[in-house]
Order: sequence, then structure tokens, then C-alpha cells
Amino acid sequence: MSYSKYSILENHDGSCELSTQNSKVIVGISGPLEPKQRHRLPLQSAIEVIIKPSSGLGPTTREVLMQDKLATVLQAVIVTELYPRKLIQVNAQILESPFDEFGSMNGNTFNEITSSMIDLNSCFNSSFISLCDASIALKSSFVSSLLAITEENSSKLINLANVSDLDTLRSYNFKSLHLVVLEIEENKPTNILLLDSKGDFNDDDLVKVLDAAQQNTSAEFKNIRSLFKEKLSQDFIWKK
Amino acid sequence: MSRFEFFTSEGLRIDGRRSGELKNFESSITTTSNFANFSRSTSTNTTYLQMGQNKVLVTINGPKEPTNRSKIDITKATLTTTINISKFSKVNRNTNKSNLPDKQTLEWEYEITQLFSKIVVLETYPKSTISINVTVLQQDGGLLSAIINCITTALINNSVQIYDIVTAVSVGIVDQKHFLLDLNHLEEQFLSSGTIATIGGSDEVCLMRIRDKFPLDLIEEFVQVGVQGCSVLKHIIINQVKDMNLNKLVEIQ
Amino acid sequence: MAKDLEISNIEKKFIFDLLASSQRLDGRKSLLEQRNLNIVITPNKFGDIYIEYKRLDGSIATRLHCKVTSEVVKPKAQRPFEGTFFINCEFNGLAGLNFENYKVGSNSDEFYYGRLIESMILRSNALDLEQLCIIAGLKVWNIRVDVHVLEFDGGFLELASIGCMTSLLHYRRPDVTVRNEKVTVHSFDEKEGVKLGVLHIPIALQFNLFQLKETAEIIKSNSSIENNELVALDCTLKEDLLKDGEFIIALNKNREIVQLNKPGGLPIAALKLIQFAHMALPIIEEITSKMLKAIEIDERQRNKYGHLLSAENDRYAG
Repeated sequence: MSYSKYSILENHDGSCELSTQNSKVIVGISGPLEPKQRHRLPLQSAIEVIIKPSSGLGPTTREVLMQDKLATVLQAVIVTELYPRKLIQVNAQILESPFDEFGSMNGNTFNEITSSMIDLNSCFNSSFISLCDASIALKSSFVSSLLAITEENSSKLINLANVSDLDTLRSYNFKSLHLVVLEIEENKPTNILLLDSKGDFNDDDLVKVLDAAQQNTSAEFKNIRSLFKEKLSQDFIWKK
Repeated sequence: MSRFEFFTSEGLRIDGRRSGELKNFESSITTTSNFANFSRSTSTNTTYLQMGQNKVLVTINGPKEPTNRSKIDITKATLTTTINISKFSKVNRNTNKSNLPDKQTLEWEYEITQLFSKIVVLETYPKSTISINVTVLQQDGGLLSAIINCITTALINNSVQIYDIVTAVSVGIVDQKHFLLDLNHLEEQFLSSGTIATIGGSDEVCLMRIRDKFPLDLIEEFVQVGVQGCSVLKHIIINQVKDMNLNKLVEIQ
Repeated sequence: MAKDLEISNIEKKFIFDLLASSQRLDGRKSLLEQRNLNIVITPNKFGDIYIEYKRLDGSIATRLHCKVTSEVVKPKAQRPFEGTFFINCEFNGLAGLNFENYKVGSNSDEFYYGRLIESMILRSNALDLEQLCIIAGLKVWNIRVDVHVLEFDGGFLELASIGCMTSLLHYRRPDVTVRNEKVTVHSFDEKEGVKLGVLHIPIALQFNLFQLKETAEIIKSNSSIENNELVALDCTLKEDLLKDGEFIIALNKNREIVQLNKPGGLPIAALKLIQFAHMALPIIEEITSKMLKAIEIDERQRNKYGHLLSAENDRYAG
């Protein structure tokens, strides 16, 4: 389960610090803003996504790839026609990544992929909460889940957000990794907004992953809803 | 602390100076000192300064209209500084292949811009830029102070309005008690040292910079020595500027 | 710092008037009062620190995240016996919308401050680089500190220097053994981490100068007698944009100046500069003890069961 704090950045319209068992991301969203000339689109709003790595200068190629994936989903979800000639800026800073420790990347080619997928998963969930916090019009809700199939037991799926320590994470022998972002309408997961799978898998695996993702999404979304219930009772004019 | 004896019991330094003596200081308006240059119709007017073994050239461009429209400030002029330290300026050639300035130079650029932004009367040149271009031909100790002195002279020679003359010297300390003024290369390398710049020979400090470990209790003496050196230097600069301009006047007539 | 942020003339005047009557925008009652410093060390991690300034009402004014990471690299050719050290600090859009996201200009304040902290640590040997050598000329540790600005309302230099030093003091690198030129890096499970060699703790402090008179008047007057300027510690972002000069001093508690910088700006009497330098010492001593205390508390929590495993005999405490 993830733990999140919202409205923590003063300088942004919406923000969220989301920590899962093994990663921590802070996202600040501002918009609609007056954009620079090159960002200006006549009929819809532009979306700018910046992801900063937990260590080192960025965004590097790794982060740019993550930015692109995040931007495509946001493009589909935000009602961009509502803010023509405006900019919505998404700033994400990765604070903790399970592979920060020295030497944790070595040995396994999957580590690099795993680390960027874990970061991206947190960025998705965190930016959804930030978008709601910033009161930006959305077509629908979305929740992302990151699931893995191991070599040893292909029937059992592992939710990577719940793996607490690095050693367990590294002890798994991953066969494939799946990042699933599901759209939520009327409280039910419906469409797939993004499906990013890495590794070796067949269509049976994929069906299993999607089933598990639906369950996880429902559970996560219940969580987020209760978070918003609490937020709304404290926000705005009806605050006691 | 060091293999050399920087300050002998007779009170002499390695290059034969006394502790409070400045290096040889000579400035001149170089290139062609013809009438065209003097009348500021061309924007370049080079000033050359030799302070010990430091050899510095400064050209001042402007005040002129900025090339970049976004840089215009309606109330005052904007100042930019670029420092180019040539690769042959040191005994050891710089092996750094790239032509980009190193971090130290960028720091100096920042400091010098900040310093002269308060010294030049920027309000008299609204909507314009003044760019200071420094070329270091040869370097010895106390390069920053040489650059600052040269820029001051150049500003005067280019008739850019300034509030007062800025002078800078470097100060080093030997054995926690002797203060040496205007360091040379060896002294700078082995001693704790700093640079201090004052305005108009008074005790008003406009730039100070110590980058080495330095005992807090000795700071008073450090400043005192520096301020004295600066006020001596001020008279030297004023005399030299006067001489230079007299020569120029003779040439014109 | 924030270039695009402009302050209206009327607000400028208001802030100046406040300062002149020694009041601050955030409710502080003195120019020399600093905001509340709070150091949060992330449990279960080494060298991962959040450091914040809190306003009087408890809200967070500035928040930085400092993180130390290490890797094994080849040393520089000129210095084969020394490890390397970097500080990476940049502002991004997260700190505020007026910060550019991609460009880090060499003429920007954050570049200058970042450099200042880096040379504060390197030139004074605060971090022992020779201890980071594994095999001379072949393998050394590269230590880097990333400073992320999460919330910003002034006070960057102080917080960044405190944060860097705290995280360096707190960090442990993995232990290594060298056998026949073969290097084995041990994980924390195999061997306890090794603390970095921090020889002394320099902390930077920034004095901000505000001029009370016209520049011409100040330069002509004898400022050691007259009062030409206001001096304030720990400026908020708006005050920071209005300042006319600064004076930065980095000290350690052994009464040593590690860095002293007055990069241009408003000229100020030499006597006053000396006063500031002496004024800084007690402040820095206080910050240092706060830092060490935070680390000690963290250490105690980590080592909750340490005494049970200790083989040391009980001694007569007398």
C-alpha cells in the first residue's frame, strides 16, 4: 500500500508526496499557466512533464522516456480543450529509488528496467493525486499498478509497490514486468491507458496480469477516494 | 608548512620585496593610440596592465545598444563580463582540451559583474549594455586583483562614469604573523591568502575573498594590511592615468 | 535567483520600511533572527536528509533534500591518491514556477553558491579525500551529494551547507577489501559501512546588506561612523531579491575561516566586516551542535539493541 501526502508544496497548485514500500516521489503540478510562445497550442493546452532523477543531473535519457510515457497518459486524461493556449506543468522529483545504494544495479540487466518502472509507477499515482489537488479538469480517473511474473512461479503475480526491501527485490528472478495504467469510470476499472510490458511472456500471462491489475486498481482507488473524502472535508468553505 | 622560507629574518621575501611592498605596476592604453580611438567613435579601446608578472588586457565595449532585445533594462545599463585566460599564460600548459572557461573563471566573472554593477553609474546609460572583456596573457599570483585594477583603469580610459576608483590587492600570511602584500605565484600556491578590493582608497571594502583556511582572530590585521595596500595602489593608478592622458593630449595636438 | 519574479515598487517600499523598523515579512521581530532549523534524517538510510526552515507559524518555508551516493571510479590523472567529490545542486520547477527547468546559467546565483559549498568542503579538507582511495591510480570512491530544492523561500546557502555536511557526517560507504588487486565491495549485511572522514565541520552563513542611501552618497561618506546599511540574516525570497549586497562567511567551530566572500555589491566599512565575522561564530557553534545532536539521536535509534550485542565488560562508573 502506498502512503501519500497532498498539498505540501506552497508554490504549486497541486502537489503530492507519494511513498510506496520502496520508492518516494514528489510531484508538483501547476496550471493552467501562461506558456512561452513555443508551447502555445491554439485549441488545447500543452502539457509539460519534467522528471528529475534521485541522483545526478537530469533529465537523462532514462527520465525522458519516463516523461514521454507520463505525458501521453496525461494528454488522454486531462480535458485539454478546456484550457486553450495554456500550459499545464508537471514537475516530478524522485526522492528515493530502491536502486540508489552502491552496487545495486550490477549483475542483472533487469535492474535498470525495474528501477525506472518502479519510479514511473509512483510518478503516475502521485501525479493523479496532484492533478485532483490542482483542480484540473479530468475526463476520468486513473491508477497505475506494477506487476511482475517470476521465473520460478509463473502463476503468482507480485505487486512491486509492496516489496519492502532491496534484497527481496533483487532475489526475485523476474520473467516479465508489466506496468498497467487503467482508466476508472463509475468506480470501475475500464480502459487500458498504458500497458508497458518488458520481458518474456505469453497471452495467458497478460490476461492474468490484467485481472490482477483490475483488482489492485479497485483497491488502490478505494484508498484514494477515502483520501479525497478526508481532503474535501477539510478544504473549502464548508470546513468546520 | 612549506619548504621555502617565504619571509626571512631580514624581512625579505623570495623575490626581494619587503612584506608591505607592491609589485611593479604599469598600465597603458595600448594598440594604436590614435585620434579615432580617443574619440570613442570605435567601441574598442584596449587597456593593458602589467602588475608584476601578471599581464592583462581589457577591452570595454559600450555603452551600446544591446543585441538581444530581452536584455534591455529601462532604468539602467546592464553589465556583462567575460574573462578569457589564455592557455599559454601559465608555466604548466593547461591540458584541458575544451575551450570552455573553468569554474574558477566563471566565479570571477560573477564576482566582477556584481562588483562593478555598484561602481559604474549605470543609471546614466539606460537601455544599453556595457561589456567588459578580459584577456589574461600571463599570470602570476594575485590574478584577480590585477584583473580588477585593469578594469578600473579601462573604465576610466573609456570615459565610463564610475563613482570612484576600485583597487584590489592580494594578501597572504606567513607563520600566522607576517602579512605579505601582493603575492607572487609561489607565495599564492603555498600560503593562506585572500583578495581584497576597496573603493577610492578608503576603508570601504567592496570585494573580499578568502578561499583557504584562515584563523578568525587574524582577520583584523588581514583587512588592515589589505586596505593600506589598496590606498597606496589608488595613488599609483591615478598618477598613471594622468600621465597616460597627458601623453594622449600631446599626441592629439 | 528567480529572475522572472518581479516585485512591485509599492511592495519594495513596504519591505524596506519593515526592515528599517527591524521587522520581517514573516513575522520575525529582529533582522538577525533566523527561522527555525529542522533536520530530518530518513531512518534505514545513510546520508539521506531533509532539512527545512520553518516559519513562526510552523509552516515550511524552505525545504531541501540532500542525498549522498557513492560509486567506484578511476581517479584523475593528476591526483591518483585521492577520491573525488561533487556537489550537484540546481533549482528546478518544483521550487517555484519562476525557476527555469533546463537552463543552469553559469552566471546564476545557485551556480555560485553550489561552487562555494563545494570549495568550502574541498579546499579546507573537510572531507578527507585520501581516505577514499582504494587502489592508487586505478580505483577510488566518488562521493556525490545531490541537493534537491523542494520548497523555496530564501536561505538556500545556509541550508545547503548544513545539509551537505550533515549528510556527509551521516553517510556510510560500503566497506571494501583488496586482495591481489581484486576489489570486493561488501554489502551492509556482510560488513558494517565505513564513515567518511569528515575532519571538521564548516558551515556557511550569509549576511544580506540593504542600502539606506543613494550609492553616490554611501561611497563619498565615511561609513565606519555613519550608518549606511541594514544587515539581515536569513532572508526570505522577496527580501533576497531586493538586497544590495551580501557577505558570506563559512566558519568551523575551531575559530577558522574556511571561506569568506564578499562578491561585489554594496561597499561596506572594513570594521563592520570584521564585526560580522565575529558575530557569525556563536551562530555557527549553535548550528553545529544542533547538527551533531540530530545525528546522535538518529544513531541511538538505530543502535537500539547495540548494547545487548556488545562484548564490553561493565565498568565501575564511580
